[in-house]
Amino acid sequence: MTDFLSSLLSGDINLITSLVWLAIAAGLSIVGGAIGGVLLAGKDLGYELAAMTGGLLGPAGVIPTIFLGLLILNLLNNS
Amino acid sequence: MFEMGWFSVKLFLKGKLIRNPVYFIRQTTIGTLIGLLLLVSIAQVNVPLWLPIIVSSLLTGAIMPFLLKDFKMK
Repeated sequence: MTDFLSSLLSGDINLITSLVWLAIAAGLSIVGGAIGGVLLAGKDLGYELAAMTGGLLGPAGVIPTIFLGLLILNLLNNS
Repeated sequence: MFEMGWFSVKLFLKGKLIRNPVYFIRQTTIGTLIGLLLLVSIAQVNVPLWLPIIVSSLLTGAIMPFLLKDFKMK
């Protein structure tokens, strides 16, 4: 567990840390999407509905981003 | 809220959620590219990995509703 936490914090990219980052990023993307949704349509849709719709849209862009991003960073680190 | 998300995922997998898949894929690709640019460029500076991940996932999440604002669900 200590090994795992230190590799997570030191920025090692392996299968397990990638999955953890993906989960963290998915959670944050829902928050980000909710913020974006409220900024975009809070006045028209009502804040709750706008946040909910935004929260559904956020992960659609973020999950491939983090997946590809960690892949690219891993390649850059190893080269 | 989680029920609604799960319901959407089920519809999505059946191919019934999105009316215009090409638009959706294009806008999602744009969002992904912006996020990738952010993530990889911030990670080049000597900061811990969690910082670029948090910044890029929050920002990318926030721009997705703007990119997908015209998208229609069935």
